[in-house]
Amino acid sequence: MASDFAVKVVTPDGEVWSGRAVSVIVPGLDGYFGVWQGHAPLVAGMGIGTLSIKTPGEVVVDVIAVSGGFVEVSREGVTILAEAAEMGGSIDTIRASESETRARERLSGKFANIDIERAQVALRKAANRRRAAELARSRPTSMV
Amino acid sequence: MAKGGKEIRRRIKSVKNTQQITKAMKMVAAARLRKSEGRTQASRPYSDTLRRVMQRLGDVTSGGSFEHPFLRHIAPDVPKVLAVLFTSDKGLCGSFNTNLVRKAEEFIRQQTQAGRQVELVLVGRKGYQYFKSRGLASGDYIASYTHKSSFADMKPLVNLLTSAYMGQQVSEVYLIYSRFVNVVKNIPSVVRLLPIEAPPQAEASSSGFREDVSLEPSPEALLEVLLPRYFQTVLFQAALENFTSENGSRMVAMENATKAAGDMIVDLTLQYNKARQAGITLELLDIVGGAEALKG
Repeated sequence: MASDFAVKVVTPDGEVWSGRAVSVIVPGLDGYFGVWQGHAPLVAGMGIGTLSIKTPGEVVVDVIAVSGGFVEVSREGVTILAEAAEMGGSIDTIRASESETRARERLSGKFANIDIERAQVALRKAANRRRAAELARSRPTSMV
Repeated sequence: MAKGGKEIRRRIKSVKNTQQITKAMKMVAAARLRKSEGRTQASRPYSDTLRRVMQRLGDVTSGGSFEHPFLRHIAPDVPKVLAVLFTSDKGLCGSFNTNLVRKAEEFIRQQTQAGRQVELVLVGRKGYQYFKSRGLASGDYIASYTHKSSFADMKPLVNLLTSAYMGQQVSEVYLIYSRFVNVVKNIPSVVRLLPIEAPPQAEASSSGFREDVSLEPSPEALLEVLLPRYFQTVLFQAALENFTSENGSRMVAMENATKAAGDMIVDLTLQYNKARQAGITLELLDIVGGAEALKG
C-alpha cells in the first residue's frame, strides 16, 4: 500500500478539509498534476478546477471544487490555499447547473454592457461547481 | 407618605429597565466577540501559510531582478496617500470610535506635515459621521464588516484600493484599525498596506541548508497571483480584528453601565426607604400629637 501524507485545504473563511491522503490531484495553472508521497518541494499556482484527494484505506476520493490559489508541497505535507473551496458532495447539483445556465445566458449577449471577462470567469466557476458535484456523486466519497 | 416617594419608585423602575437593556447588549456583544474571534482563528491557517509561501518566494526571488508594483513605490512623487479607517456602524461601545478617529486625525496631521494629502476611505458609519460633519469625507461610507462578512464581501473595497494605487492616484495605502489584544484592551493602529512590506526573510534555514523549492509555473507568475491575495488577506484580517475589538469595547462599556445602574438602584432604594420611613414617622407623630391633644 502506498504511504500517505498530511493534506490540508484552507480558505480565508476556514479549513475545508484536513486529513491524510495517498494522492492529491491538483488543478495547476498549466493543467492538472498529481502529488504522491515523496514529491519534491513545490509551490504552484492553482486555477479553477476540481481537486481530488484519495484517502488511504478504503478507495475513497473526495472531490473539492476550488477556484484560484496555491499548492504548497513540503516535507510536512501538502497545503492547499484556495480562495474558495467547496466539497463536491455538499453542492446542490440542480442549483449548480441552473447557475451555470444563467452564467451562459449572460455571456450569450442577452444583456448589454457586461464585463465579458468577469462573466467568463463566473461561467467557469459555475461549470466547475457543477462538475465537482457530479463527480462527487459518481464516486464513493467519505463522509465529511 | 413624603412627597417624592412615588417619583423615586418610578426612577427605580426606569433604571431597572435600562439595566436590563445594557445587560442584554453585553451578552450580545460577548456572543459576537466569540464568533468573530472564531472567524479570526479560522482564517489564521490560511494567512499563516500564505505568509510562509511568500517568504519562500522572497528567498528565491531576492536579489533577482523581479519586481512587482505591489512591492515598490510606483508613484513615490504623488503627494497623496489613501487611508482606510475602520470604525463601527453602531455606537455604545465606549471610547472605541473616539480612539480610532483620534488616531486618524493624528495620522492626517503627520502626513500633512510631510506635505502629503490624505484621502480617507471610511468603513463604518461612526467614522463617516465624524468626518462628514467636518467636511472631510466625500462620497459614501462602506458598511462595517462583521463576523458574518466573507472574504468575497471585501471585493469592492479591494477593487477601490487596487485601482487607486495602480492608477497612481496615491503613493501609499494605509489601514487604520483597532488591533485586538484582549477583551479589555485594543490598540488603534496604523499599518501600511501598499506597497507591501515584505515579511522578514527566513533565517538561513535552521538545518543549515536551503530547501530547493520548485516554483510552478514561474516565480513571476506566482508572485503575480500571490501578492494581491496577500494584501487582501491582510485587509480581511484587519476588518475582522476591528470587529472583534468593537465588541470587546462594547462588552466592557455595557458591563460598566450595568454596574452603574446597579449602584444607582441601591442608592435610589435607600432614598425611597428613607422617604417612606419619614412619611410613617410623620403620620405617627400626627396621631400621637392628636391623642395628646385629646388627653390634654
